[in-house]
Amino acid sequence: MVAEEGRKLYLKIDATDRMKQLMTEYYIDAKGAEGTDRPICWITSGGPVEFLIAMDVIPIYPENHGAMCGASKMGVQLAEVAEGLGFSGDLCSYARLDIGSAITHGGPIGGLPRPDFLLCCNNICGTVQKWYEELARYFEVPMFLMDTPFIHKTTYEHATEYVRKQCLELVAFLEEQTGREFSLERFAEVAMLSVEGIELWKEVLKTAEHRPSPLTCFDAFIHMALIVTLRGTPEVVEYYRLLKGEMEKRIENGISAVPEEKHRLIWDNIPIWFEMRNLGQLFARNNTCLVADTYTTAWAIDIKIDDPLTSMADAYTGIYLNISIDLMFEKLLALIERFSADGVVMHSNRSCKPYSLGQYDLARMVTERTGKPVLMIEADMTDSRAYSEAQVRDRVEAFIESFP
Amino acid sequence: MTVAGVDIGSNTAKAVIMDNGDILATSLIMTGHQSRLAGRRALDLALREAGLEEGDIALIVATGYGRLTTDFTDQKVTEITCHAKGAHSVQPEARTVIDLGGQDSKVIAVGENGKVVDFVMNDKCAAGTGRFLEVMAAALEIELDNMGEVSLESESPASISSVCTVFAESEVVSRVAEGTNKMDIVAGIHQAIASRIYAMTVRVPFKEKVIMTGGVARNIGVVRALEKRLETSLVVPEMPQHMGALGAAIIAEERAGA
Amino acid sequence: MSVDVLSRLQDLTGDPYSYARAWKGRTGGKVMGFYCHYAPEEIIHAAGALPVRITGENRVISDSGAHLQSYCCSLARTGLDMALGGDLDVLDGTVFVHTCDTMQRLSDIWRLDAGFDAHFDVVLPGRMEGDSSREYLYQELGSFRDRTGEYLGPVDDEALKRSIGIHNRNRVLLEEMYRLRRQDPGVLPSDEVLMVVAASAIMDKEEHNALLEELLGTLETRLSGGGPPPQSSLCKGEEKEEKIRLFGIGSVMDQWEFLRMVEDAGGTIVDDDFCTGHRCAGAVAPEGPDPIESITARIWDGALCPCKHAMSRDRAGYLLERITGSGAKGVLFFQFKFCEPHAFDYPHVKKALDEHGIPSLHLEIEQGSVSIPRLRTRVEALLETMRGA
Repeated sequence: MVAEEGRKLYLKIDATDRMKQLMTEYYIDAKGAEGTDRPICWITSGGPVEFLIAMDVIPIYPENHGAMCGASKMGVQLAEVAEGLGFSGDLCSYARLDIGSAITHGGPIGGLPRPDFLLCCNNICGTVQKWYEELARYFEVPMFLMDTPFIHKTTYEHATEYVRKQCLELVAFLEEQTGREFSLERFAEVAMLSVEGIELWKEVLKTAEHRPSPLTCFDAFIHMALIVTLRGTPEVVEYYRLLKGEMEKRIENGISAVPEEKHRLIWDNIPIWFEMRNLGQLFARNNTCLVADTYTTAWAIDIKIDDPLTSMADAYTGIYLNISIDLMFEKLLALIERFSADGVVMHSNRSCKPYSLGQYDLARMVTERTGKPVLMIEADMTDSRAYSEAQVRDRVEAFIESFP
Repeated sequence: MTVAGVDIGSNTAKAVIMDNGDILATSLIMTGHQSRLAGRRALDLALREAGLEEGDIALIVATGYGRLTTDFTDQKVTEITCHAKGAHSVQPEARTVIDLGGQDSKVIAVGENGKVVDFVMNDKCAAGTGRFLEVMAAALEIELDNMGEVSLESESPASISSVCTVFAESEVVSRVAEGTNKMDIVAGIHQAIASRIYAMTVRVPFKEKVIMTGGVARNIGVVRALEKRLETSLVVPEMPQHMGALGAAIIAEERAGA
Repeated sequence: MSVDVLSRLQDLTGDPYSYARAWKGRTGGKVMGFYCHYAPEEIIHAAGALPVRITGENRVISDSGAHLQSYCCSLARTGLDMALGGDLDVLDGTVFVHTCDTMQRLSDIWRLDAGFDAHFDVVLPGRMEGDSSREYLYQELGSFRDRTGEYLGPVDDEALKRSIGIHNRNRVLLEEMYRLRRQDPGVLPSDEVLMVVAASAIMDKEEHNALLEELLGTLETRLSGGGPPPQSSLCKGEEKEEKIRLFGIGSVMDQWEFLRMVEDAGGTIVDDDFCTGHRCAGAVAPEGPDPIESITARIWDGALCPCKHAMSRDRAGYLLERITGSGAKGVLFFQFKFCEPHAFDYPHVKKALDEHGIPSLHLEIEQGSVSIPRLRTRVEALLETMRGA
C-alpha cells in the first residue's frame, strides 16, 4: 500500500530556482530601498497591488513573510515576542509573528523593510484591519483601509459603488504619499500585465486537472508567492510561462507529482507552513495527490482590460474569503468536479476565522451533495504549538484507508 | 504576639505560625476534597508543632483559593498579595515573583516595599502548573518528584511544542513511541513550561531579582529551563511552597500590631 | 416603587425571552433577534416588530459544536446553541450586523441552519471615517429598510421618526442613570445598572422608558438622602469603606454573578464601554426630515466598537477621557476569549493606562465556564493593590 521505495516522493520543479531568484532579488531590492526616496508600502494579501506597482511603490506583504517565517519554523519565537507585549496567543499567528518581527527584526531575512505607509484591504478578514492599525501605531505611518463589504447573498450596487469610490480615494492617498501623479495609462498597462500573469497562473493550476497530476497544492503554495507579491510586472508573466511549460512537459512525459497517484483530494484553507514538507510526503507516501486548493485559486481574480478600475473593485470584493458559506460551497464544488477529486482535506486553522468558521457546514454540504468524504485537520498556519503531528498523521492515514 | 497564616491551595494546604517575626512552626498537607477541613488541619498541625493552642494566636489570615470557605480565620487576603509579601520577606531585593502552584501559575511584579505593582495569572489553561507536570509524569510513567533530576541529564531535549495539556500529552506519548529518551522528553516538557511562563513574565514586565515560589519550584529542571529562557538566575527560597502562608502570617502580624 | 421596577427588570433579564413571548401573544407582532448594538432597532420597531437582543448565555455547548470550532468565541457558540436548541423559538427572524469575522460567518451558519423565517444582513462599513463610508452606511440602512419592509411591512417616514424619538428618549434616560451613578455609585450597584440596560434591549422601548423614568425618580430621591438604600449595595457612611470605582471595558457584559462579586469584594463598575452597557446610552439620532439620515448620524457619531476602523478617533484617548470623567481609579478589562477586535486593542490601551498610572486587570472569560472564585482572587488582588495593602 505505502510507496516507500522507488522514485523519490518529492520531485523538484526546475522553475523553483528562478522563483527563488526573483523572490530574493525582490527582497534585496526592497530592503535596499529602506531609507531612500523609493516608497515602501505594506499591503495585505488580498489588496489591490496594481495601484502600487503603477505608482512605482514597493509592495511588501507581511503575510508572505509570515509564511516564510512559518516555513523556516521561526513563527513561534517571533509570536512569543508579541505575546510578551500582551497580544493574546489566540490572535492570528501571522499578526503576532509580524509584530514580533517588526520589533526584533527577526525571521529568515532579518525582518521586513520599514513601511512608509500601509494599504489594508479587509476582503480577506477583519483581522488585518486591527493588525494594520497596530502597525500604523508602531511605525507611526498613515494607513489606507480599502473597505470591501461582505457578500452574503447578492452584491448591491451601493456596495460596488462604495468600493469604486475607494479606488479613487486610494489613488489620491498614493499621490499624496508619494508626491507623484497617477497615470491611468500606466495603470492600464500594469492591469494588463496583472491579467496576463493571473491567466497564466490559472493555466498552471489547471494542469493539475490531468490524471495523474503534474503538481500538488504543496507545489502551488510555494509557487504562488509571485502572483501574490509581484503581479502586474513582466517578470511574473515570464515566470509563469516557464512554470506552465514545465508542467505541460511533465504531462507529455507522463511524469506525475506523486509517484503513484491513486487518490485525488482538494485542500481547503491556508497551508500549515511549518509542516508542509512532512504533510506533502505523508500524502505522497499514501499515493494521494492534493490536486487543487481553495487558497491559491483565491488569486485567480477576474480583471477586465477595458475597464480596469471598475472591474478591479468588483473583483477584489468578490474574492473567496469575502463571500458567504453557500457561495463558497459553489466554488468548492466546482473545484471538486473540475479536478475529479475523491474528497476534501480541510485545515481547521485556529488563526483564521473567516476561512475556518463554517468549514463544518461546508464539509456536510460537500458530503451531502457529492457523497465524497471530508477530513478535518486541527492546526494553525504558523503556530506549531497548536499542532499535534501524531494526531494528524493518524487521521490522514485512516482517511485514505477508507477509500475503496 | 503570635499570629498564623494559612494558605489553602488546590493541591496542598500550608500553615505558618509566627512570633514577632520568627517562624515558630510550619505545616504542609494534601488538600484533598474538602478544602475547608484542610486549612483547619494544616493549622492544627502547625499549632501542635509549636506547642500552642488556637487561643494563643492573636490573628489568623487565610489565603489561597480555599480562603473564602474557611470559618476559623479572622481575615482573608489573596495569594497574590501574600506571595509578594512572603517572597519580599525572604528576599527583599526580589522585584518579580513567579509562583507555579497546583492549578495556577502567576507572575507578580513587586515594589521595593513588598507591595504588588502588577500581576498576570494563567486562565483556564493548565500549562506551566503542577497539574501539567502531573499529567506528563503519568504519561511517562515516572515519579513526579524525580522529573527535575532526570531532566538535568539530558543533552538534547526533545521538542514539545504544544502548550495545550491535551496536545502536549499526545506529543509526549508519540515521542515515547518513537523511542526518544525519557530524560530528553522530560527536559522538553520543562522547556515547554519555561516558554509558557516566559510569555507571562515578560508581560508584567519582569525586573531582577526573580524569585520562584510554589510547588513547581521544587523541580530543579523547570528552574534551570526558566533561568535559561529568562537569561537570569532565579532565587528559590528554602520552603517555596510556604511563601503564601508566610506572607499571610506577616500580614497578620502587621494588622494585629496596627 | 423602584424596588418593584428593579425586581421586574431582574426577572426579565433572568428569562429574557419570556417577555417577547408574552408580547407576541398580546400583539401578534413579529419578533426579530439581533446580536450587535449597531443594529438599527428604530427601523425594526417602526415596522411594528419587537427587536430583541441575543447575547448568548452561560450554557454548556451542545448542538452548535457541530457548526463552530472551539476557537470561536462563546458569544457566537452559545447563541447558536440556543437557536438550534429551540430556546429562541419566539424569533421570527434575525438581523445580523457586520462587525467581526466571527459574526460574519455566524450569520451564514444561522441562515443555513437555524431555520428562522427571515434573515437579514446589514453590512455596515468597516471604516467609520471618510465621506464614501458615510454615504455607504446611509445607503445600506436604506436598503435594510426596503428589505425588511418586504417582510415586516413597509416603514414610512413618519413611523420611523416616531420610533427614533422613542429610542432617543431611551438613550437619554440611560445616560441619565449613568450620570447619577457617576455622581454616587452607591445609588445603584453595577449589576443592576447593567441589568437595566440589558432589559432595554429585550423589551418594548416605550415600556422600558416608563420603567426608567420611575427608577430615575427613586434614584434622585436616594441621592438627596431620602428613601431606603438599594437592597444589594452598601452605601457609604456605613462601617464599610467606600467602594473602589472601576471602569469596565469589553463587549457583552451580562455576568450578573461576577458583577455582584466585584461589589462584594469592595469594587464597583461606575462606568463602562460595554456594548451592553454605556454604548447603548448617550448618542441620540439628531431628528430631521430624513429619518435614515438621522440613524446614519447616530451610528456614525456614536461610540465606536473595536471592530470599526477610524484612525482619526484614538481609542485609548477616548477611553482615558471616559475613565477620568467617571472618577474611576482602576480598569477591568472583561473580554471574551477568542474575541480578536478587543484582544488587538488591549496592549495599546493597557500601555496608555500604565502611562497614566491607572491600574488595570485583564480578565478573559467564556460563557458557560465562568469560575467566580478564580476571578474573585484576581479582582480582590487588584483592589488590595489599589488600597495599597
